[in-house]
Amino acid sequence: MSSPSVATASSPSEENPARPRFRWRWRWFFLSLFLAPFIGPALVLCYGLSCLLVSPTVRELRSAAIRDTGGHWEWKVSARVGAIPLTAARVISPFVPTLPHEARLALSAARSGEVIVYERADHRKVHGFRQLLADADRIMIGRGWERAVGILEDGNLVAVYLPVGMDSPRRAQATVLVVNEENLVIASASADLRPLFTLALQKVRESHPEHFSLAKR
Amino acid sequence: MKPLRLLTSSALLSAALLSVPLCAETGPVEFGTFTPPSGQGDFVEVNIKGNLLAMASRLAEKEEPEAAEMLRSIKSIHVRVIGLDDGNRAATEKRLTEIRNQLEENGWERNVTVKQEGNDVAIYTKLRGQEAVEGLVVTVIDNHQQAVLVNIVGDIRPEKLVSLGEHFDIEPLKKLHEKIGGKGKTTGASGRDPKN
Repeated sequence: MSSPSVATASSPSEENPARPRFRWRWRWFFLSLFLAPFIGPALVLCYGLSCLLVSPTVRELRSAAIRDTGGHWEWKVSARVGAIPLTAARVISPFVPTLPHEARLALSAARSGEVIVYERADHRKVHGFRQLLADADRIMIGRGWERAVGILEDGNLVAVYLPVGMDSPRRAQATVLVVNEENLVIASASADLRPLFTLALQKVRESHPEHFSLAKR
Repeated sequence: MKPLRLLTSSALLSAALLSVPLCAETGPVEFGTFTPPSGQGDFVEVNIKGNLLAMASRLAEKEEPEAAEMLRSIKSIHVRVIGLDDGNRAATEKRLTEIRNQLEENGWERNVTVKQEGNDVAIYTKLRGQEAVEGLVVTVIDNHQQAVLVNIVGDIRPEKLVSLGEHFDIEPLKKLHEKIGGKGKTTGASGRDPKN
Protein backbone atom coordinates (compact mmCIF):
# COMPACT_ATOMS: atom_id res chain seq x y z
CA MET A 1 0.00 0.00 0.00
CA SER A 2 1.58 3.29 -1.11
CA SER A 3 1.97 6.17 1.26
CA PRO A 4 -0.33 9.05 0.53
CA SER A 5 2.63 11.47 0.86
CA VAL A 6 4.65 9.85 -1.98
CA ALA A 7 3.81 11.52 -5.23
CA THR A 8 3.75 9.27 -8.26
CA ALA A 9 5.40 10.44 -11.45
CA SER A 10 2.83 11.77 -13.96
CA SER A 11 2.63 14.40 -16.80
CA PRO A 12 1.31 17.87 -16.01
CA SER A 13 -1.58 17.43 -18.44
CA GLU A 14 -2.80 14.40 -16.68
CA GLU A 15 -2.48 16.27 -13.37
CA ASN A 16 -4.33 19.39 -14.45
CA PRO A 17 -5.25 19.33 -18.15
CA ALA A 18 -7.17 22.66 -18.03
CA ARG A 19 -4.26 24.92 -17.03
CA PRO A 20 -1.80 24.56 -19.99
CA ARG A 21 -4.61 24.93 -22.60
CA PHE A 22 -5.83 27.97 -20.72
CA ARG A 23 -2.34 29.45 -20.84
CA TRP A 24 -2.04 28.86 -24.62
CA ARG A 25 -5.32 30.61 -25.29
CA TRP A 26 -4.15 33.70 -23.45
CA ARG A 27 -0.88 33.74 -25.39
CA TRP A 28 -2.72 33.67 -28.69
CA PHE A 29 -5.02 36.40 -27.50
CA PHE A 30 -2.20 38.75 -26.57
CA LEU A 31 -0.30 37.88 -29.73
CA SER A 32 -3.34 38.77 -31.84
CA LEU A 33 -3.80 41.98 -29.92
CA PHE A 34 -0.18 42.90 -30.55
CA LEU A 35 -0.30 42.08 -34.28
CA ALA A 36 -3.75 43.58 -34.97
CA PRO A 37 -2.47 47.13 -35.64
CA PHE A 38 -0.17 45.67 -38.31
CA ILE A 39 -2.48 43.04 -39.83
CA GLY A 40 -5.38 45.43 -40.36
CA PRO A 41 -3.47 47.97 -42.49
CA ALA A 42 -1.66 45.12 -44.27
CA LEU A 43 -4.99 43.63 -45.32
CA VAL A 44 -6.22 47.02 -46.49
CA LEU A 45 -2.99 47.53 -48.44
CA CYS A 46 -3.30 44.12 -50.07
CA TYR A 47 -6.89 44.84 -51.04
CA GLY A 48 -5.88 48.22 -52.42
CA LEU A 49 -3.12 46.65 -54.53
CA SER A 50 -5.51 44.00 -55.79
CA CYS A 51 -7.71 46.81 -57.14
CA LEU A 52 -4.85 47.69 -59.49
CA LEU A 53 -4.53 44.15 -60.78
CA VAL A 54 -6.92 43.27 -63.55
CA SER A 55 -8.20 39.83 -64.44
CA PRO A 56 -6.14 37.38 -66.55
CA THR A 57 -8.52 37.87 -69.49
CA VAL A 58 -7.95 41.60 -69.57
CA ARG A 59 -4.22 41.09 -69.13
CA GLU A 60 -4.12 38.72 -72.07
CA LEU A 61 -6.10 41.13 -74.26
CA ARG A 62 -3.71 43.90 -73.28
CA SER A 63 -0.67 41.80 -74.19
CA ALA A 64 -2.18 40.96 -77.57
CA ALA A 65 -3.03 44.60 -78.24
CA ILE A 66 0.45 45.86 -77.39
CA ARG A 67 2.11 43.09 -79.37
CA ASP A 68 -0.05 43.39 -82.51
CA THR A 69 -0.19 47.17 -82.74
CA GLY A 70 3.53 47.64 -82.23
CA GLY A 71 5.10 50.83 -80.95
CA HIS A 72 5.24 51.91 -77.35
CA TRP A 73 2.26 52.21 -75.05
CA GLU A 74 2.43 53.95 -71.69
CA TRP A 75 0.36 52.72 -68.78
CA LYS A 76 -2.08 55.31 -67.44
CA VAL A 77 -4.89 53.70 -65.49
CA SER A 78 -5.58 50.29 -64.06
CA ALA A 79 -8.52 49.73 -61.73
CA ARG A 80 -10.70 46.94 -60.58
CA VAL A 81 -13.79 47.27 -58.42
CA GLY A 82 -15.45 44.19 -57.02
CA ALA A 83 -18.75 43.36 -55.45
CA ILE A 84 -17.80 44.39 -51.89
CA PRO A 85 -16.98 48.07 -52.44
CA LEU A 86 -19.90 48.47 -54.84
CA THR A 87 -22.28 46.92 -52.33
CA ALA A 88 -20.88 49.20 -49.64
CA ALA A 89 -21.36 52.18 -51.93
CA ARG A 90 -24.97 51.14 -52.58
CA VAL A 91 -25.59 50.90 -48.84
CA ILE A 92 -24.10 54.34 -48.23
CA SER A 93 -25.64 56.13 -51.23
CA PRO A 94 -29.08 56.74 -49.66
CA PHE A 95 -27.33 58.78 -46.98
CA VAL A 96 -25.71 61.06 -49.56
CA PRO A 97 -28.52 63.43 -50.57
CA THR A 98 -26.38 65.36 -53.08
CA LEU A 99 -25.72 62.29 -55.24
CA PRO A 100 -27.32 62.81 -58.68
CA HIS A 101 -30.15 60.52 -59.65
CA GLU A 102 -28.22 59.13 -62.63
CA ALA A 103 -25.24 58.25 -60.45
CA ARG A 104 -27.51 56.56 -57.94
CA LEU A 105 -29.13 54.54 -60.70
CA ALA A 106 -25.76 53.57 -62.19
CA LEU A 107 -24.52 52.55 -58.75
CA SER A 108 -27.55 50.36 -58.22
CA ALA A 109 -26.84 48.63 -61.52
CA ALA A 110 -23.09 48.03 -61.30
CA ARG A 111 -21.91 44.69 -59.93
CA SER A 112 -18.19 44.70 -60.79
CA GLY A 113 -15.87 46.33 -63.24
CA GLU A 114 -12.29 46.71 -64.34
CA VAL A 115 -10.52 48.95 -66.80
CA ILE A 116 -7.04 49.58 -68.11
CA VAL A 117 -5.98 52.59 -70.16
CA TYR A 118 -2.77 52.98 -72.09
CA GLU A 119 -1.60 56.01 -74.04
CA ARG A 120 0.53 56.00 -77.17
CA ALA A 121 4.01 57.10 -76.14
CA ASP A 122 5.51 57.43 -79.60
CA HIS A 123 3.90 59.00 -82.65
CA ARG A 124 4.19 55.97 -84.87
CA LYS A 125 1.15 54.88 -86.81
CA VAL A 126 -0.88 52.15 -85.15
CA HIS A 127 -1.20 49.09 -87.35
CA GLY A 128 -2.14 45.43 -86.99
CA PHE A 129 -5.84 45.96 -86.29
CA ARG A 130 -6.81 42.90 -88.31
CA GLN A 131 -4.37 40.68 -86.46
CA LEU A 132 -5.48 42.16 -83.14
CA LEU A 133 -9.13 41.45 -83.92
CA ALA A 134 -8.27 37.85 -84.81
CA ASP A 135 -6.16 37.40 -81.64
CA ALA A 136 -8.79 38.99 -79.42
CA ASP A 137 -11.43 36.71 -80.94
CA ARG A 138 -9.26 33.68 -80.23
CA ILE A 139 -8.67 34.75 -76.61
CA MET A 140 -12.31 35.47 -75.87
CA ILE A 141 -13.72 32.42 -77.66
CA GLY A 142 -11.39 30.30 -75.54
CA ARG A 143 -13.05 31.79 -72.47
CA GLY A 144 -16.60 31.20 -73.65
CA TRP A 145 -17.28 34.68 -75.02
CA GLU A 146 -18.26 35.74 -78.51
CA ARG A 147 -17.90 38.97 -80.42
CA ALA A 148 -21.19 40.80 -80.83
CA VAL A 149 -19.78 43.91 -82.46
CA GLY A 150 -16.58 44.57 -84.34
CA ILE A 151 -15.90 47.96 -85.90
CA LEU A 152 -12.81 49.11 -87.74
CA GLU A 153 -13.27 52.65 -88.96
CA ASP A 154 -11.00 55.65 -89.51
CA GLY A 155 -8.15 54.13 -87.53
CA ASN A 156 -10.36 53.11 -84.62
CA LEU A 157 -10.98 49.54 -83.54
CA VAL A 158 -13.91 48.73 -81.28
CA ALA A 159 -14.79 45.19 -80.31
CA VAL A 160 -17.55 44.18 -77.90
CA TYR A 161 -17.60 40.69 -76.44
CA LEU A 162 -20.45 39.03 -74.58
CA PRO A 163 -20.66 35.66 -72.85
CA VAL A 164 -22.13 32.97 -75.09
CA GLY A 165 -25.78 32.42 -74.32
CA MET A 166 -26.16 35.42 -72.04
CA ASP A 167 -29.87 36.03 -71.64
CA SER A 168 -30.46 37.47 -68.19
CA PRO A 169 -30.52 41.25 -67.80
CA ARG A 170 -29.89 40.92 -64.05
CA ARG A 171 -26.30 39.81 -64.45
CA ALA A 172 -25.19 41.01 -67.86
CA GLN A 173 -21.50 41.06 -68.69
CA ALA A 174 -19.50 42.71 -71.43
CA THR A 175 -15.88 43.27 -72.37
CA VAL A 176 -14.95 46.13 -74.66
CA LEU A 177 -11.67 46.66 -76.49
CA VAL A 178 -10.95 50.07 -78.01
CA VAL A 179 -7.75 50.94 -79.84
CA ASN A 180 -6.90 54.03 -81.85
CA GLU A 181 -3.91 56.22 -82.64
CA GLU A 182 -3.81 57.63 -79.12
CA ASN A 183 -5.37 55.23 -76.64
CA LEU A 184 -5.77 51.60 -75.78
CA VAL A 185 -8.69 50.89 -73.49
CA ILE A 186 -9.94 47.55 -72.27
CA ALA A 187 -12.95 47.46 -69.95
CA SER A 188 -14.98 44.65 -68.55
CA ALA A 189 -18.07 44.97 -66.39
CA SER A 190 -20.95 43.12 -64.90
CA ALA A 191 -24.22 44.88 -64.20
CA ASP A 192 -27.94 44.66 -63.76
CA LEU A 193 -29.20 46.20 -66.99
CA ARG A 194 -32.71 47.03 -65.81
CA PRO A 195 -31.97 50.36 -64.10
CA LEU A 196 -29.54 51.28 -66.89
CA PHE A 197 -32.19 50.61 -69.51
CA THR A 198 -34.65 52.79 -67.65
CA LEU A 199 -32.06 55.56 -67.49
CA ALA A 200 -31.14 55.20 -71.17
CA LEU A 201 -34.78 55.26 -72.27
CA GLN A 202 -35.41 58.32 -70.14
CA LYS A 203 -32.48 60.12 -71.77
CA VAL A 204 -33.56 59.12 -75.28
CA ARG A 205 -37.09 60.34 -74.59
CA GLU A 206 -35.75 63.65 -73.34
CA SER A 207 -33.49 64.16 -76.34
CA HIS A 208 -35.93 62.90 -79.00
CA PRO A 209 -39.44 63.56 -77.68
CA GLU A 210 -40.87 63.62 -81.23
CA HIS A 211 -40.19 59.89 -81.58
CA PHE A 212 -42.20 59.06 -78.49
CA SER A 213 -45.07 61.53 -78.71
CA LEU A 214 -47.38 58.99 -80.32
CA ALA A 215 -47.00 56.71 -77.32
CA LYS A 216 -48.93 59.23 -75.27
CA ARG A 217 -51.94 59.03 -77.54
CA MET B 1 -59.08 -4.40 -77.78
CA LYS B 2 -58.11 -4.29 -81.43
CA PRO B 3 -60.01 -1.09 -82.22
CA LEU B 4 -58.60 0.47 -79.01
CA ARG B 5 -55.05 -0.49 -79.97
CA LEU B 6 -55.60 0.88 -83.47
CA LEU B 7 -56.98 4.10 -82.07
CA THR B 8 -54.06 4.51 -79.65
CA SER B 9 -51.40 3.89 -82.28
CA SER B 10 -53.14 6.30 -84.69
CA ALA B 11 -53.22 8.98 -82.01
CA LEU B 12 -49.53 8.47 -81.23
CA LEU B 13 -48.59 8.57 -84.89
CA SER B 14 -50.58 11.79 -85.45
CA ALA B 15 -48.93 13.40 -82.45
CA ALA B 16 -45.51 12.42 -83.76
CA LEU B 17 -46.26 13.81 -87.22
CA LEU B 18 -47.61 17.06 -85.84
CA SER B 19 -44.52 17.56 -83.70
CA VAL B 20 -42.25 17.38 -86.75
CA PRO B 21 -42.15 20.70 -88.63
CA LEU B 22 -43.39 20.35 -92.16
CA CYS B 23 -40.66 22.64 -93.43
CA ALA B 24 -37.40 23.61 -91.83
CA GLU B 25 -37.31 26.96 -90.06
CA THR B 26 -35.29 29.62 -91.80
CA GLY B 27 -31.98 30.10 -90.04
CA PRO B 28 -29.49 32.91 -90.39
CA VAL B 29 -27.77 33.18 -93.75
CA GLU B 30 -24.13 32.17 -93.57
CA PHE B 31 -22.21 35.14 -94.87
CA GLY B 32 -18.89 33.49 -94.19
CA THR B 33 -15.72 35.34 -93.30
CA PHE B 34 -14.79 38.53 -95.07
CA THR B 35 -11.31 39.97 -95.16
CA PRO B 36 -11.14 43.46 -93.70
CA PRO B 37 -9.45 46.08 -95.88
CA SER B 38 -5.76 46.39 -95.28
CA GLY B 39 -5.76 50.18 -95.49
CA GLN B 40 -8.03 52.65 -93.76
CA GLY B 41 -11.27 51.20 -95.11
CA ASP B 42 -14.21 50.49 -92.87
CA PHE B 43 -15.16 47.12 -91.47
CA VAL B 44 -18.22 46.55 -89.34
CA GLU B 45 -19.54 43.26 -88.07
CA VAL B 46 -22.61 43.00 -85.86
CA ASN B 47 -24.09 39.71 -84.67
CA ILE B 48 -27.08 39.91 -82.40
CA LYS B 49 -28.49 36.53 -81.56
CA GLY B 50 -31.82 35.40 -80.15
CA ASN B 51 -30.73 35.37 -76.52
CA LEU B 52 -29.73 39.04 -76.63
CA LEU B 53 -32.91 40.01 -78.41
CA ALA B 54 -34.96 38.08 -75.85
CA MET B 55 -33.10 39.92 -73.10
CA ALA B 56 -33.75 43.27 -74.78
CA SER B 57 -37.39 42.32 -75.15
CA ARG B 58 -37.70 41.61 -71.43
CA LEU B 59 -36.06 44.95 -70.64
CA ALA B 60 -38.39 46.87 -72.94
CA GLU B 61 -41.57 44.98 -71.98
CA LYS B 62 -42.78 47.46 -69.42
CA GLU B 63 -41.90 50.74 -71.12
CA GLU B 64 -42.36 49.92 -74.80
CA PRO B 65 -44.52 46.79 -75.19
CA GLU B 66 -44.82 47.18 -78.98
CA ALA B 67 -41.07 47.32 -79.43
CA ALA B 68 -40.72 44.40 -77.01
CA GLU B 69 -43.12 42.31 -79.07
CA MET B 70 -41.17 43.11 -82.22
CA LEU B 71 -37.91 42.13 -80.56
CA ARG B 72 -39.42 38.85 -79.41
CA SER B 73 -40.35 37.98 -82.97
CA ILE B 74 -36.81 38.48 -84.29
CA LYS B 75 -34.40 35.58 -83.97
CA SER B 76 -31.17 37.15 -85.12
CA ILE B 77 -29.66 40.19 -86.81
CA HIS B 78 -26.40 40.08 -88.73
CA VAL B 79 -24.73 43.07 -90.36
CA ARG B 80 -21.53 43.29 -92.37
CA VAL B 81 -20.01 46.45 -93.79
CA ILE B 82 -16.77 45.86 -95.64
CA GLY B 83 -14.65 48.59 -97.13
CA LEU B 84 -13.23 47.46 -100.44
CA ASP B 85 -9.68 47.99 -101.57
CA ASP B 86 -7.44 46.24 -104.09
CA GLY B 87 -6.66 43.56 -101.52
CA ASN B 88 -10.19 42.31 -100.91
CA ARG B 89 -12.45 43.76 -103.63
CA ALA B 90 -12.47 40.79 -106.00
CA ALA B 91 -12.93 38.20 -103.25
CA THR B 92 -15.70 40.16 -101.53
CA GLU B 93 -17.68 40.83 -104.70
CA LYS B 94 -17.33 37.18 -105.70
CA ARG B 95 -18.60 36.09 -102.28
CA LEU B 96 -21.52 38.49 -102.55
CA THR B 97 -22.49 37.02 -105.91
CA GLU B 98 -22.27 33.51 -104.45
CA ILE B 99 -24.54 34.53 -101.57
CA ARG B 100 -27.10 35.96 -103.96
CA ASN B 101 -27.08 32.80 -106.07
CA GLN B 102 -27.47 30.61 -102.98
CA LEU B 103 -30.40 32.67 -101.79
CA GLU B 104 -32.20 32.28 -105.09
CA GLU B 105 -31.49 28.54 -105.16
CA ASN B 106 -32.89 28.20 -101.63
CA GLY B 107 -36.21 29.76 -102.47
CA TRP B 108 -35.60 33.35 -101.44
CA GLU B 109 -37.50 35.89 -103.47
CA ARG B 110 -35.68 38.91 -104.85
CA ASN B 111 -38.02 41.82 -104.27
CA VAL B 112 -35.77 44.77 -105.03
CA THR B 113 -33.03 45.17 -107.61
CA VAL B 114 -31.28 48.47 -108.15
CA LYS B 115 -28.31 49.00 -110.43
CA GLN B 116 -27.69 52.67 -110.77
CA GLU B 117 -24.61 54.91 -110.85
CA GLY B 118 -22.28 52.25 -109.57
CA ASN B 119 -24.68 51.06 -106.86
CA ASP B 120 -25.81 47.45 -106.88
CA VAL B 121 -28.62 46.72 -104.44
CA ALA B 122 -30.60 43.49 -104.04
CA ILE B 123 -33.15 42.75 -101.33
CA TYR B 124 -34.33 39.21 -100.74
CA THR B 125 -37.14 37.93 -98.58
CA LYS B 126 -38.37 34.55 -97.54
CA LEU B 127 -42.08 34.50 -96.92
CA ARG B 128 -44.10 32.24 -94.69
CA GLY B 129 -47.46 32.03 -96.37
CA GLN B 130 -49.07 35.39 -96.97
CA GLU B 131 -48.69 36.77 -93.47
CA ALA B 132 -45.13 36.95 -92.39
CA VAL B 133 -41.60 37.41 -93.62
CA GLU B 134 -39.32 34.73 -92.21
CA GLY B 135 -36.10 36.31 -93.35
CA LEU B 136 -34.76 39.41 -94.99
CA VAL B 137 -31.40 39.84 -96.70
CA VAL B 138 -30.10 43.12 -98.09
CA THR B 139 -26.94 43.11 -100.20
CA VAL B 140 -25.33 46.30 -101.45
CA ILE B 141 -22.18 47.05 -103.39
CA ASP B 142 -21.62 50.77 -103.26
CA ASN B 143 -19.46 52.09 -106.12
CA HIS B 144 -17.01 49.21 -105.64
CA GLN B 145 -15.91 51.00 -102.47
CA GLN B 146 -18.04 49.29 -99.87
CA ALA B 147 -20.13 46.14 -99.53
CA VAL B 148 -23.03 45.90 -97.11
CA LEU B 149 -24.94 42.82 -96.03
CA VAL B 150 -27.85 42.72 -93.62
CA ASN B 151 -29.72 39.58 -92.57
CA ILE B 152 -32.72 39.60 -90.26
CA VAL B 153 -34.37 36.32 -89.33
CA GLY B 154 -37.62 35.97 -87.45
CA ASP B 155 -41.33 36.33 -87.69
CA ILE B 156 -41.33 39.72 -89.36
CA ARG B 157 -44.82 41.01 -89.92
CA PRO B 158 -44.86 43.98 -92.25
CA GLU B 159 -47.86 45.53 -90.53
CA LYS B 160 -46.04 45.40 -87.18
CA LEU B 161 -42.97 47.00 -88.74
CA VAL B 162 -45.15 49.75 -90.16
CA SER B 163 -46.86 50.15 -86.79
CA LEU B 164 -43.48 50.40 -85.10
CA GLY B 165 -42.36 52.93 -87.69
CA GLU B 166 -45.42 55.04 -86.95
CA HIS B 167 -44.94 54.65 -83.19
CA PHE B 168 -41.36 55.90 -83.31
CA ASP B 169 -41.80 58.12 -86.37
CA ILE B 170 -39.25 56.22 -88.48
CA GLU B 171 -39.90 57.04 -92.13
CA PRO B 172 -38.19 54.01 -93.80
CA LEU B 173 -40.23 51.62 -91.67
CA LYS B 174 -43.46 53.44 -92.52
CA LYS B 175 -42.80 52.75 -96.21
CA LEU B 176 -41.30 49.29 -95.72
CA HIS B 177 -44.44 47.36 -96.47
CA GLU B 178 -44.46 48.57 -100.09
CA LYS B 179 -40.78 47.75 -100.60
CA ILE B 180 -41.03 44.22 -99.22
CA GLY B 181 -43.72 43.62 -101.79
CA GLY B 182 -46.81 43.02 -99.80
CA LYS B 183 -48.54 43.18 -103.17
CA GLY B 184 -45.64 41.89 -105.30
CA LYS B 185 -44.36 45.35 -106.16
CA THR B 186 -40.74 46.12 -106.82
CA THR B 187 -38.89 49.37 -106.91
CA GLY B 188 -35.99 48.42 -109.10
CA ALA B 189 -34.66 51.39 -110.91
CA SER B 190 -33.52 49.12 -113.67
CA GLY B 191 -37.18 48.73 -114.50
CA ARG B 192 -37.07 44.98 -114.80
CA ASP B 193 -39.18 42.60 -112.87
CA PRO B 194 -36.86 40.62 -110.60
CA LYS B 195 -39.19 37.67 -110.73
CA ASN B 196 -38.25 37.15 -114.44
